[in-house]
Amino acid sequence: MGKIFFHIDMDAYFASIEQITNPFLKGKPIAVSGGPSTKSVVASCSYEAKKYGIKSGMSISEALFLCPNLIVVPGNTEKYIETSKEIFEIIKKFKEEIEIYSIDEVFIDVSDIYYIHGGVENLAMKIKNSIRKITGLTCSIGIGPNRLIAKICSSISKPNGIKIVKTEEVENFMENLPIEEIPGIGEKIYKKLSDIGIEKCGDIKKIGKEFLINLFGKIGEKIYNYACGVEEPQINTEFPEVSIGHSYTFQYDTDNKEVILKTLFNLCEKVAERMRKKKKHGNFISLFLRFDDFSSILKRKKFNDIPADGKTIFECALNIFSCLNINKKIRSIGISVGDLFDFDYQYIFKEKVKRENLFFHIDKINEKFGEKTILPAILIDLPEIKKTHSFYFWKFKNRLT
Amino acid sequence: MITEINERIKVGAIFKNGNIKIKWIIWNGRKYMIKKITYKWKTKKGTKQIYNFAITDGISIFEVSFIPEDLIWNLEKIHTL
Repeated sequence: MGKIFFHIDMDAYFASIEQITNPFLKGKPIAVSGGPSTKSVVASCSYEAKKYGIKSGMSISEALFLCPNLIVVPGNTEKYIETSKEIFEIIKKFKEEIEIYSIDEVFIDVSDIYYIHGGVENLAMKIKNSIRKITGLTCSIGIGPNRLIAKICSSISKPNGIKIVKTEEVENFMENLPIEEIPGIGEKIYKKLSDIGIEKCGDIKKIGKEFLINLFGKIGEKIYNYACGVEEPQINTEFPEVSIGHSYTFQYDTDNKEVILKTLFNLCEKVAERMRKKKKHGNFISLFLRFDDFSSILKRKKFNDIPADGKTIFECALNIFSCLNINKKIRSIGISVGDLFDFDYQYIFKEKVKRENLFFHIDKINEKFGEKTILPAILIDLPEIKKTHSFYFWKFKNRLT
Repeated sequence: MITEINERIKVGAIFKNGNIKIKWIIWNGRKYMIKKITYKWKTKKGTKQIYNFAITDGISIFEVSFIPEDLIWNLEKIHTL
């Protein structure tokens, strides 16, 4: 008996939570966004909004153009994370080892448990019903001999469906599958393939692996394997973290250097805090910029042993930033530290020990009293910080006067 | 439309079998009878656990939070269409 995988994918996750929270939104086209500005993007949208061609990642202004009646709801990350935890706990009652793929997607290897529940379909129904009963949310479950097939199946069965593809059915199933259904085939690859008349996975199989490798390089082999429905059937319960990064989309496109650099510094602080939690140092820094015309650049530079210190990460990022010739307004900015390795914090130098101690205590205070209770003074006038800290600033000001 | 309120309110609630059932809230001197809890989720502020509820009187949706440690109820937001 081969392996059997489930891919559990929540339906229009953020939008569905908002429709349950506010029943007046049920049956209406809604989009969950990051902020009130039309510059922000659609994080998730209801199926009613999808009918108008609205997709995640689209700008709110574009979405409103497609559907003027669209209701834009500001997202609530904490609510979505907490609901995810609840959903993962429900799934863990069926199988302890789960692979969390994203905030609303989970893979499970059910090869050793499905028969206890009376077959794969019964098990899928039980999971769907449990999630529905406790959270009120629906999900789609794809079932296949590997994660790839399971993921494609869940995507096809949306919303609120179950789709099974058995090992012996894989070849036929993949033959007529449109190439855009393969996870990882983005716009660029899709365009290149459709330009040469490749529309279905069966066409990819016909042109052969070599041709794809010549066209796309190493990734060509992956596309070929995926088009044949081949993927290593192995569940990763632990991912080795290769990089830690954060990004931010400005409410308005900006060329104000002070705002850009302060935002970058804030992102570096966030990255450093996560690196400290994971006890990691890194060797590479990547700086990402997206401009007002949607063009973007990604610059990567090697720095040996980057510590989990926001100031040092910022200095490295600044080193990259200052080499760039930027003459456009910036829409979003991102920073990540890569090539991470474990670090045990046994410093020889006294100065470094002092700084590590400082971070240790700052992190402890922030953990106890809330994020950014202690933060570098340079960041206090950032809109993101002002929003969350306005009460404390007011309190502090009143205490002084 | 969502309006941020962030004001203390009075709440009538039943605590039973580990569940909280909100019956009414008083905000701005007006009593709103609660028909349904539409959603609930937990958050944390430092070490304090916060219980959040979306509740409705059939006309509006109120987002309220409860901090058991301080016995404080807050009206966070009101959703209206």
